Amino acid sequence: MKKIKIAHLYYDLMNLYGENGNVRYLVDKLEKQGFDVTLYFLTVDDKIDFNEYDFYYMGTGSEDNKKIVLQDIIKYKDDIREAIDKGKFFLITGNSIDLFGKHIEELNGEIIETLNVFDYSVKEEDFRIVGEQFYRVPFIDYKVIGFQNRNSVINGYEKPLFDIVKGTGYKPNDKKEGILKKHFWGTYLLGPILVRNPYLTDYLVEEICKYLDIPYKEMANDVSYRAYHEYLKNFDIDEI
Amino acid sequence: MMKLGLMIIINKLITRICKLFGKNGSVYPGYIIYDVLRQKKILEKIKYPRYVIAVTGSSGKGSTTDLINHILTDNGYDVCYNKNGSNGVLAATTLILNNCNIRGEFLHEVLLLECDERHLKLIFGENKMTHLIVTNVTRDQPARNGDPDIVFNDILKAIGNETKLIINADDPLVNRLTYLYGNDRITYGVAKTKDSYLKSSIEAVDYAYCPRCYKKLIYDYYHYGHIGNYHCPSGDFKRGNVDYEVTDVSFEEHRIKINGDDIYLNKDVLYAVYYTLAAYALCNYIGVSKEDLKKAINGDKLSTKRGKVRELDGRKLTMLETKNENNLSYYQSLRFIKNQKGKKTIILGFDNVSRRYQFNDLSWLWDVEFELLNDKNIDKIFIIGRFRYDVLTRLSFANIDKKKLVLIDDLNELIKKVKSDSVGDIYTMVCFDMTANILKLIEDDENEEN
Repeated sequence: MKKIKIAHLYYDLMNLYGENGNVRYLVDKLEKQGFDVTLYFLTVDDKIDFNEYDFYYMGTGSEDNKKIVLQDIIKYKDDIREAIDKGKFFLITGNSIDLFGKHIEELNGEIIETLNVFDYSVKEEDFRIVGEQFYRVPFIDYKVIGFQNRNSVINGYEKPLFDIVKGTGYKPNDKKEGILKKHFWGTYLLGPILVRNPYLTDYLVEEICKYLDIPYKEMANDVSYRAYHEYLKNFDIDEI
Repeated sequence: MMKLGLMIIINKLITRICKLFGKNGSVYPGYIIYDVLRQKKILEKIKYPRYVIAVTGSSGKGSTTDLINHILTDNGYDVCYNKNGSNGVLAATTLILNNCNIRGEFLHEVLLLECDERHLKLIFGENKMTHLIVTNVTRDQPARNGDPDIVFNDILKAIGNETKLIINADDPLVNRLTYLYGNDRITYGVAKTKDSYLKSSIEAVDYAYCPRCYKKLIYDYYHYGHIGNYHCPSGDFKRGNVDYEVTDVSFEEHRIKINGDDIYLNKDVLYAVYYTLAAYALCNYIGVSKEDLKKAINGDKLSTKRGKVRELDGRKLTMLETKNENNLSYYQSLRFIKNQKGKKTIILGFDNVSRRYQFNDLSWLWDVEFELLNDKNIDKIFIIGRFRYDVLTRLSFANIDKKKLVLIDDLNELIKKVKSDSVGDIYTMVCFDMTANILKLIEDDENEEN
């Protein structure tokens, strides 16, 4: 049985929006593919080896917690860049993507250096961006659904993961959102986006299978697919 | 002063008109004064009484306020309080102006307000409150509140040097007040109970690190969420000893001990322990003796407004109002159900996440410990509402036997299905709007039977 290791990064700090749903759902899907999955919960003061795991997940946290994480994760900046270049999988959701740019400009104008993995800068705003989101993604026909609740915007990034159908992009009036490089996915969508988007998860699982060289098996649709379709129906949004 | 008097008259007049039209009128007059006439500073001009007591926090503030009113009134205090639970700045404006004379002098000995945690700073300028209870700060309505740090920082904006603080020390986020302010204060907390635990199955705690040195807090036990007994390994911060402590919680006997005294508990859930303790601590702090406290709480028992009990088809039905987007509100309902004996049937679900806004974020479903429903005494779980498939998806990851999960597509079929396809006592665990819908269905069913 092929082994796969998932690292839930800073699980006890970046967990404001049911983030555990993502890893639980992913583990279930990978087990259905026949993987022997081990889930690791890692946080401040743990030694995080960015060679060790196949998939890294980090979710949304309070602004204070985001900065506690920054103090710890900054020492891994070169390791993270290398892991992304090697094709390791990253899913970074909500305000944790703020940590992967060049810097964060705080409300008081102070600049905080961040991981500098990507060439964008983040600015904290005195307003919040809150609401349902509907996106297109090039890999699948079905739309991506989710929710945003943030007080930061991204400037200077040009390799989007998503096109906005309805919602907010990197900053208000932007029609693009998300960070994409090899198998790195970053997005301001928060919470259990894999559960909410079963077709996107199917694609992700297929990519993981390819990367780890095992044949992908079609999976039976569980209730999460029905939840996805009903949600779109509720909001009167076309699926495709 | 003329202007203040005029505003007070307008407020009273609009309140009367609202009542003439059969409206409750707790918010609208305040809206006219505060928003339409733009009198944003009017509450700062009031001559407040000796006691201005505010109760705020993510949950438990309404019940705490009810019990404080009960105790103080029983002890001869003249209390004015927002008993209908409207707790924002508009409702506070209405209430306060309605209880002033035209010179702006407040007419009661005690102003007691349950306050929305984001509105506290709008209601009270610095040093207006004489006493402030902070019950807890947890994730709650994030579309409106953002995160718990934002809520806490908003509460800080209303605290002046003179405000006496009544602090739930079991909540590390709230307990930061003990080192941020040198104010007079007391602390309260609950000792380990039989339901305390060392680690939750979901790691969705709102506060896990020392606010001073950012080391991970070590917990001796949790009561729920991040509420429990903790200390920083560096010794910078801890729950420590408290001024008022509950020990010996007995839900079966509706009893707790506060600093060794036997006290009646009017509801057999943990949050009742907290509101009883907070009310006791505050009232004792302002001078009600322990004997008089016991007389007021144990002798003249206060009924509860939540957890209404009815019958359906000869079966006991308990309605647990449970707040969406608040995993700890769900936890308390789940824990309550878990502690009940005999066969059980559950009804849960919602049409709208919130009644305050249109947003329907569903992520919080994964922060709720639905795993507590993995209980052999549960016969069926009926899932209702517009987002029933999302709820079912979450429950399918909670190790619950799938045969127990029943989707109700047509709400009109709910009562019939519950009656024919399930056994045991019934518990509804739904938010406000759905409570009203279910009540109507039950009443319709009763009318048909008759």
